[in-house]
Amino acid sequence: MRRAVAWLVFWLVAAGVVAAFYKRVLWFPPAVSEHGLSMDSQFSVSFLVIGTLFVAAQALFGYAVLRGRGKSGQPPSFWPSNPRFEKRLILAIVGVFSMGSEKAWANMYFRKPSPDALEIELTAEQFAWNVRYPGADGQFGDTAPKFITRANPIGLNPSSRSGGDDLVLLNEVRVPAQRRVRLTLRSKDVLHSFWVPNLRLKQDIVPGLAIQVEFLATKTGQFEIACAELCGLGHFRMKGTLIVMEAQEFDQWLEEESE
Amino acid sequence: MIAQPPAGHPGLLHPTPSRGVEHLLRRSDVLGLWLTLAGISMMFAAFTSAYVFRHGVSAAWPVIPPPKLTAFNTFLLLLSSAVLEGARRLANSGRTRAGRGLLALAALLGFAFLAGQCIAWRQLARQGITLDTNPHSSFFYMLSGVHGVHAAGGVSALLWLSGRACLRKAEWPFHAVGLAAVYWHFVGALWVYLVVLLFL
Amino acid sequence: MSETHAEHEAPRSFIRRYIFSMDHKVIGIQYLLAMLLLAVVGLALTVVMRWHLGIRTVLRPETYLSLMTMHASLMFVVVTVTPTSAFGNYFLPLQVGARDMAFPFLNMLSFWVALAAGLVLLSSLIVGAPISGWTAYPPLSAVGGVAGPGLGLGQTLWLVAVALLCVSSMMGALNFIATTLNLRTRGMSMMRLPVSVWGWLTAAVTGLLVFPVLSAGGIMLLLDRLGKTSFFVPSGLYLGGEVLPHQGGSPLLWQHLFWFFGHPEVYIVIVPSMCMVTHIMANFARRPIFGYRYLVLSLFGFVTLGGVVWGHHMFVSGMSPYSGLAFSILTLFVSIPAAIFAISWLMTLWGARIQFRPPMLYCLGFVSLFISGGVGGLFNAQSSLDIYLHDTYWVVGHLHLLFAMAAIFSVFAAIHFWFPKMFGRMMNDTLGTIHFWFTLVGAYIIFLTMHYMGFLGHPRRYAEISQFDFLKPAASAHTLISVVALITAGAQILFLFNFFWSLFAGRKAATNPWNSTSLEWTLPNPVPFSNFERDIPVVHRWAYDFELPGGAQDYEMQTAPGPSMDGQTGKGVPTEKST
Repeated sequence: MRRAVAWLVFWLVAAGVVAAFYKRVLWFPPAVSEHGLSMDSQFSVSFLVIGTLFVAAQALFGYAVLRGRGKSGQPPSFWPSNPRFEKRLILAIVGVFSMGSEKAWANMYFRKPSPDALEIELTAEQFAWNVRYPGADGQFGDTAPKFITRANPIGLNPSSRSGGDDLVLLNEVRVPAQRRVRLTLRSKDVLHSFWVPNLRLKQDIVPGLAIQVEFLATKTGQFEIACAELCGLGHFRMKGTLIVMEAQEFDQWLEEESE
Repeated sequence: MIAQPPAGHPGLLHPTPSRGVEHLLRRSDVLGLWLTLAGISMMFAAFTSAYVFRHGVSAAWPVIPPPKLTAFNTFLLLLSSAVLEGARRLANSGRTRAGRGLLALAALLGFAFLAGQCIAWRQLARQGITLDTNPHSSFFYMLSGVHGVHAAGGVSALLWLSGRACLRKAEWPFHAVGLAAVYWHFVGALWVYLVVLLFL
Repeated sequence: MSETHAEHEAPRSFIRRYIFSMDHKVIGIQYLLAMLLLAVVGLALTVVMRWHLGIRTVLRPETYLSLMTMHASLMFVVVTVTPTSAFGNYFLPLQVGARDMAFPFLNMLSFWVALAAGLVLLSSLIVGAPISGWTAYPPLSAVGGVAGPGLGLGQTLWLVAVALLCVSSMMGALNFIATTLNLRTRGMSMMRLPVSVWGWLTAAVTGLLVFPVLSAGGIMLLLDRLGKTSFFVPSGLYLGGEVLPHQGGSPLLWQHLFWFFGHPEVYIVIVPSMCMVTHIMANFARRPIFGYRYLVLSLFGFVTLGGVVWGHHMFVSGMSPYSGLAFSILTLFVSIPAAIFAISWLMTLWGARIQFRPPMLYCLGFVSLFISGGVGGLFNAQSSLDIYLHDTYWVVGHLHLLFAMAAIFSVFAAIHFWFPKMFGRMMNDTLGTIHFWFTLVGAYIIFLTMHYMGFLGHPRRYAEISQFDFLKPAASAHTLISVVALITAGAQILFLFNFFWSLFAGRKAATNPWNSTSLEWTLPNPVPFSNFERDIPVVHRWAYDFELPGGAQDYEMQTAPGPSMDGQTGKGVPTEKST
C-alpha cells in the first residue's frame, strides 16, 4: 500500500512537471537577444540530458529502496552499476556540457568589440539607473564624484568639452533593434547587477570598474531591467525599462531628445 | 599514513600512564603545533594574495619607508630565536643551568621585539604615516599587527616557561621548550618573510 | 594541557562536569543543544519571512533583509558546526577507540568560543542586524551605516561573530585531526575507520586550510570599516550626499577571499553529512559499504577540487571571462567524486533487506535530496547558463536542497541513530516517521518551486515583488511556498517534542539497539567518563561486516576476531587477516 502510494505520487509529480514544461507554462520569459537564443538551446540540451539523468537516478534509487528483499548473506547476482560505464558517462556529460556551455560563453565574451556598436553608459546608484548617450560628438564627457549634485546625478564635469551634448536619462534605456549595443556599466556607490531576463543578460556592476558588455536585441518592445545584486534596502524596487525600437524610430527619438 | 602503535601496548591512553602513552601525547602535541603553523601559514598566504591582488589593481602604489627600527627589531627577533635554540640544545645535552639563563634571555629579547614594534609604529605615526595613509601603509600596519599578536603569544609562552624553569629547578620542561622553539622560529621566519614582502 | 586527561579523573563538581567540561561527550551534547537553539531561532525567522513574502506584506524592506541575513548566518553556523562539532566530538573518540580528544582543554575552549560567536550573532539581531546578506559583499558591508540600516554596529558585531567562529573551528579542527591520526586503538588502521570518521577528518582538514583565509578577509573588512583603510572600498564612492575618503580598493578581492573559503565550506558541511549517512545506511541496509576505498579516495577529490572552484560563484562578477571558463570546467569535475558516493549508496542498497526505521528514512531522504541538488548543480556549473541563473531563486533553491536540507537530514538521521548512546533512551519511531515525510515532501515542494522561480528570472533577496511585471507569475508560487513552509516549520515541533520527550520518557535503550558494529556500541549506557572502563578493545575488522556467510548473527562487531570482508569492494569472500 505504502509502496503503491509512493509510486503514484512520484509519477503524478513527474507527469505534472513534464506537462508544465511541454505546455511552456514553466518557461523563461521570451528571449529577445542574439546570444539569448544560443543560451536557450543550451538550456534545452541541458534539460534533456540532466532531466533524464535526474529521473533515471531517482527511479533507480527508488527501485533499489522499494524492491529490497535480497537473500541473507549473499550479494545480489545482478548489480545495477558498471563502474566503467559510469566513468564514461560522467566524462561524456562533463565533455558535452563544457563544450556546449563554453561555446555559448565564448559567443558572449570572447569577441572583438564591434566598431560600429551604439555606446551607452549606465551608472547605477542606490536605487536608480542613470543612462547616458554620448550625443552628437560620439564622446562621453568626463565625470568625477565631486561634481555630483541632485541636478547632475552622474557628476559630469561642467567644463568638459565633449560632455555638453551628453544626454542623461533616468531609468530608461532605449536601443535600436538589430544593432549591437555596447553598455559601459558603472556604479556610484555599491555593487549592483544589470539584469534583463529577456536579454538573457546579467552583469554585476562594480564600483571602481567600468565593465563593458555587448548585446544585440532582435525584437522590439518594452522589457524590465532589474537589479540582481543586493544593494541595500531598496534593492527590490531598483527598476529600469529597456525599450527596443525600430532603428529609424530610435534615430528620430535620439535626434529629438538631443535638442 | 601514520604508523601503527607499538605492538603489545594494551591500547592508547591507558588510565595508568606508561612511557608509551606519554610518547603518544607528545606526538599529538607536535602534530597539533604543526597543524597550527599550517593554519597560520594559510592566513598569511591569504594576506599575501590579497597584497598581490590589491597591488595589481592599483594604478599608483606609493610605498612607505620602513620604520627606522625595522632592521634592529628583526635582529632582536632572530637573536631571540637563536638564543632559544641555544637554550634548547644546552638543556638537551644536560646543561639545564645554563639553559635557564638563555631561555630567560630569549624571552626578554622577544619582549624587546614587541616593544620595538610598538615604538616603530609610533615613529611612523609621528611621520604622519597611519593605517589609512595608503594601501601599503594599511598592509604594513595590519601585517605587523597580526604578526605581533602571534609573537605576543610566543613571548607569553617563553616568559611562562622561563618562570617555570627558574622556580622548579629540578625539572626542565624539555617537551614544552621544544614546542615553543619550533613556534618561535616560525614567528621569526614569518617576520623576515613579511619584511621581504613589504619592503623589498 | 593534554597531560590532564591521561591521568584525569571524573570531575565531581557540577560546573566542571556539565558546564566547563573537558569531556568530549559533554562538549558534543553542549554543541548539539546550542545549535538546536540557533536552528529554532533561524526557523522562526523563516516563518516571519515566508509570512511576509507569500501571505501578507508585514515587514519593512530593511527588516526583511535583516531577517534574511540573520537566517542565513544562523543556519550557516548550524550546518557548519552540527555534523562535525556535535556528533564528531561525541563519537569520533569513541569510534576510533580513544579516551578523549587529543586536546580536551582546547576542545572546551572551542565550544565556548563557538557559543560566544552564536550569542554575538544573536546580539546583532537585537541592535539591528545587517542587511548585506550572509556573503557581506563590500562596499555595502564596508562603509558603515551610510549605506543602509544595520550596516553600522550590527555589521561589526556580525564580523566579530564570524571571526570567533573561525577561531573556534580551527581549534576544533586541530583536535579532530590529531585524535584521528594519533589516538586510534590497536588494529584500527586508517582503512578500518568508520566512514563517519573519515568525514569528520576531511571536514577538519578542509576547515584548517580555509577558515584562516576567511579570518584574513574578515580582519581586512573590519579594518576597512573601523580604520578607514581601502582594501575593498574603491575610490570616489558617493553615499549619503558626500564622497567617501577611501581610495582604490577592490570589491572583487573580498569575493575571491570569501569564496575561496565559501566553496570548501560547502564540503565542510556536506562531506561529514554524506559520511554519517553512509555509515548509518550500511547499518540499516545490513550490507557492507560498497567501494569503501573509492569513497576515501573521492574525499581527497572533494578537498582538492574544493580548493579550485571558488570562481563559479563569481561568473558574472566582472572577473575575467577566461577565469570563468576554467572555473566552469573544473566545477563540472566535482560530479565525479559526488557520483562515486551516489553509486556506492545505490550499490549498498541494491538487493538489501532494508529496515525502515527513522534513521534510515532520513538517510534515504538525504540521498534523494543529494541527487536532486547534485544534478541541479549541473545547470549552474555551466557558466553560460549561470548568467541567467546567478543570483536568482534557482540558486536559493539549489543551495537549500544541498547545503540546508540534505545537511539537516543527515543531522536528523544522526540524532535518531545516536540518541540511544547519547541519552540512554530511544526516540519514538512513529513521530520520527511522520516528521520525516512532512519534512521531505515540504522540502521538495518549497525548493523545487524556488528552482522554477529561477526560470522566471526572479532575483533573490527581494523584499517585495510588486514592482516588476515579470515577477507577477511568481506571486502564486510565493504563496504556495509560504503555505508549505509554514506547515513544514510546524512539523518541526514533532521533532522537538520527540527529542525532549524521549530525553525523559523514551524507552530505555539497550547497549546496542541497532545491532551495529562500531566501537561506541560496545559501551554501556551511559558511556562512562573515560569511555572504556578497562582496556581499550583491540579492533579486528572494519565496521561494515554485515551478513557474513555462515555467521550466527547478521553482523560482527569491530572487536570480534575472525574472517572479514575488510577492504573488499562488496563482492568477494571474507578472509582472515591478522591485526
